[in-house]
Amino acid sequence: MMSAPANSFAIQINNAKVSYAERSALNNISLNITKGKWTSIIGPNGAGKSTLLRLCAGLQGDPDCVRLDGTFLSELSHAKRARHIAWLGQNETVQGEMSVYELVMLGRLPHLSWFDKPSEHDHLKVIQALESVHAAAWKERPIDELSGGERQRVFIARALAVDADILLMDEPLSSLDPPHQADCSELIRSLVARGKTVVTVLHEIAFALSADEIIVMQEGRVRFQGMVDQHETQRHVEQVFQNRIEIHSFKNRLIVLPV
Amino acid sequence: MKLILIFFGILFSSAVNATELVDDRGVLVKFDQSPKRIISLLPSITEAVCMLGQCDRLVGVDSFSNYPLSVRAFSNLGSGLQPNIERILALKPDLVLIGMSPRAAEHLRSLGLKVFSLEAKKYQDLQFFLEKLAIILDVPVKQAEHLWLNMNEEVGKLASLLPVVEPKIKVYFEVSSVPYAAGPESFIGETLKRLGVENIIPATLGEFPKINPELVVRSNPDIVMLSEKSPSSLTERPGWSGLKAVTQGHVCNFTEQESDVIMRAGPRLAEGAKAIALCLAKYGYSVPVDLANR
Amino acid sequence: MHNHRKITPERYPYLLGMIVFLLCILLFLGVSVGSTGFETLTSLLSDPTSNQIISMVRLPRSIGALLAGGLLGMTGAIAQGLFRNPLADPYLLGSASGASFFVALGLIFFGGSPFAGLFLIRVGLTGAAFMGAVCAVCLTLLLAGGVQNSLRLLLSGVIVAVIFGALSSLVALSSPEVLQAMQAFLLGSTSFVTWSGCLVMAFVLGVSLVVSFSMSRVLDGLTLGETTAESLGLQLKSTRICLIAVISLTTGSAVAQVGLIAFVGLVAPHLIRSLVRVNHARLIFLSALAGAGLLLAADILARLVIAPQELPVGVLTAILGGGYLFWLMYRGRRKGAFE
Repeated sequence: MMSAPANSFAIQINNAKVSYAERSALNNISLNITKGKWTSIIGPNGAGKSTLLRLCAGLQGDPDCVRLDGTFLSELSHAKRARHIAWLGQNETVQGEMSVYELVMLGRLPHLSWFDKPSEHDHLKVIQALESVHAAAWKERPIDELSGGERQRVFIARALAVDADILLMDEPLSSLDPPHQADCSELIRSLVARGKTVVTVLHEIAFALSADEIIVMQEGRVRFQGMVDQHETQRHVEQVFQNRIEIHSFKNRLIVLPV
Repeated sequence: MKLILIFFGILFSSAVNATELVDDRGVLVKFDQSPKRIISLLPSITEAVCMLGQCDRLVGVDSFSNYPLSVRAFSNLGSGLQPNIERILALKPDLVLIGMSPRAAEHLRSLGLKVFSLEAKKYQDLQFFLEKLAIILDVPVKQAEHLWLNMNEEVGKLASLLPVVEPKIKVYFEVSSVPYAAGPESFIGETLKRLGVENIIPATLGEFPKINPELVVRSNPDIVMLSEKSPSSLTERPGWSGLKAVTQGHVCNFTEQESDVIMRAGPRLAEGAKAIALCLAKYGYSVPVDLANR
Repeated sequence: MHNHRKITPERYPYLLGMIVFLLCILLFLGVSVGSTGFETLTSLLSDPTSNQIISMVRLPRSIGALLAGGLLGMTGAIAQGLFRNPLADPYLLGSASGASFFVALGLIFFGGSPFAGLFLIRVGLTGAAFMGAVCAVCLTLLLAGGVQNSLRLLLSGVIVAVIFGALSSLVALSSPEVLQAMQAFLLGSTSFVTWSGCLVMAFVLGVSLVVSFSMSRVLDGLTLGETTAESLGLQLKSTRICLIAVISLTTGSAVAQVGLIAFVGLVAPHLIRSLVRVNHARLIFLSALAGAGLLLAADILARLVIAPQELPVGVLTAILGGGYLFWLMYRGRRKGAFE
């Protein structure tokens, strides 16, 4: 896609600092996100998880500290970056009463230039995105008539419609009920199986543990990064939550129990 | 500067056949012949045209022109600021006389009408005002001069009929209840000066300054003069109930007709001066003066 | 609003056709109504004066009303989309107050020596109004320190509007004649619109429509919030600069020709949105049409209601526009939702 050496890292961050007013949200972060894997960022409130995600997306912080597939963000045009990374923010909102279909079509904006009309390919991607979140049946309904959970699925579809290699999602499971949470988890798995890189910030530790890699954050720093099935990783997760949780293996899956 | 311009304008025009005259906005207007269908959008112009004996050439006037009575029949053309363009066009005038209203003159000119702006703000302007009109109307300039001299004489006569007192009578003239007052530089102020009274408004404030009512309280004028537009509840104004003019009842509230002649800087200025003089005669002296019998 | 009562996007061509048809009727009415009556129209061909009245007075002012209304309606849609605020109107960056102030200054100089007047005749009060609008917007941008922050822009716009408003009053009160002329300007009127004014407005309208169409996608994206819009690759900063330039030009040229007319820019997009659900490109276009119709309708009523005298058209747009907003609110309250 970009520079010559094929990189196994989708995103590389080097010495990034982000501060709000006098408080620093991120302190000297350096990390790498592995390509083609699902990485989950977890940590207590105020750890800087959302800020880190925004940094990866180029929405905050110094773009010279972040590299996408080897190329610095500052060297990428807005359009290129937008095609390469899809972003889903926390508590997304939308103004107006556009239809579900129109909203998801907005996800194709990075691929449309000024006076283009959406092509067959764009329509295809939108339908596919809607089908993967099981929202295709309501594509004509206005967005303001949907419930919170239904709307969240539509937002996810919007991010999917971008058809980017890297998908960054901040709290994608909020407002979703358990069946749909499970659907979302499966969806991410299938994306990763197709070679996409997914980074999520998740409150729901159990789902976070379905990922391949975990990044543990606390007070603006990365405490630990490792594969989810390693004991060391699990210990770090328990520690960052002040050992108020226990992680166990049950029926071949990891579960979280409060202490 | 303006005077020199007007002077040369008149000088030049009397030397050539087709009359060319520079109007008060600096625009050169050419008259191949004297206009026959005239529209006037300023009451003082209407009055002047009629006083120069050319009333029958007027085909339409603005809604505020009300003298002489004959013009009321066709005084429906709106104001000088917002003239009724359609009606003006429908009357097919060959000249539109308008005051110094900025937009209307330009707009009418752009519609192909011949427009001449003139307005008098001071006594001295009136002379040129009348003379220009005389030239346009192809009336002997002497007639205009005559009118002007008569006016001047009448005002002078009024002044001489009023007794001279020291210190001078202090007068406050209110033009509208904002309050806008008549300063010494305005034509009302000039009339007051000619009639030998002192204006409580200092000259530095300008022609029609919006004043602080405190100024009136501080100066405590002998007579308060109000044009018809002001309300008559003076005692409600803070501090005014103590004014000697108010307590002694030395307040002249001019009627609509009187206000018209006082406020218009036109050929009936002398009538306006007379209305003021009558007010002065009634209240200005220890014993009311009877002007008729002096 | 319950959407089943709205016109669906497929029926958009019908809506467009109906609006254009309505505008044609309004134009016909505009040409028929005037202080010299309907006979002027019927004697159009026979009487050269009637011809002159129709072609030099009624037609330019009616078309001028359509164009100015179009400029205001379009700008209202842009402002509401750009600032994501349904209460935004075209004057939100202080352009109206800037125009008033420069007009007041112009009036002072006009009343003075004829030589100053000569220069200003070239530029005219229309030029002064236009310059004032653009100046005020530039000042707002300066005060806000750029286009980064929407809230700061809005606040700066308010500050600039208040300051220029106060300055206008100061100047206007210096002389009762200027005060009168200012009030006439502030209440709005189409009676001074010339063909050249129409040409200028048409040109500005055309250019602005093209520019805002090209940026309409960004406005669509902005409905998702600024961060998401940026993540979609939309260039917010340059879009803001462009659209703010458009706003200043359109309001400047409209105010220069017809004075300060309120409510048209605010109401037109709401009117369209209550009828049909559209993306920003269509909303901008339809709002232009709606604004055109609104202003011309108000102008016709202004000429009709106390005929043969004229009411200032700003009074009627306030009544019509305000009334419509009140009805929207009332309808919304009854349905249990507020829009």
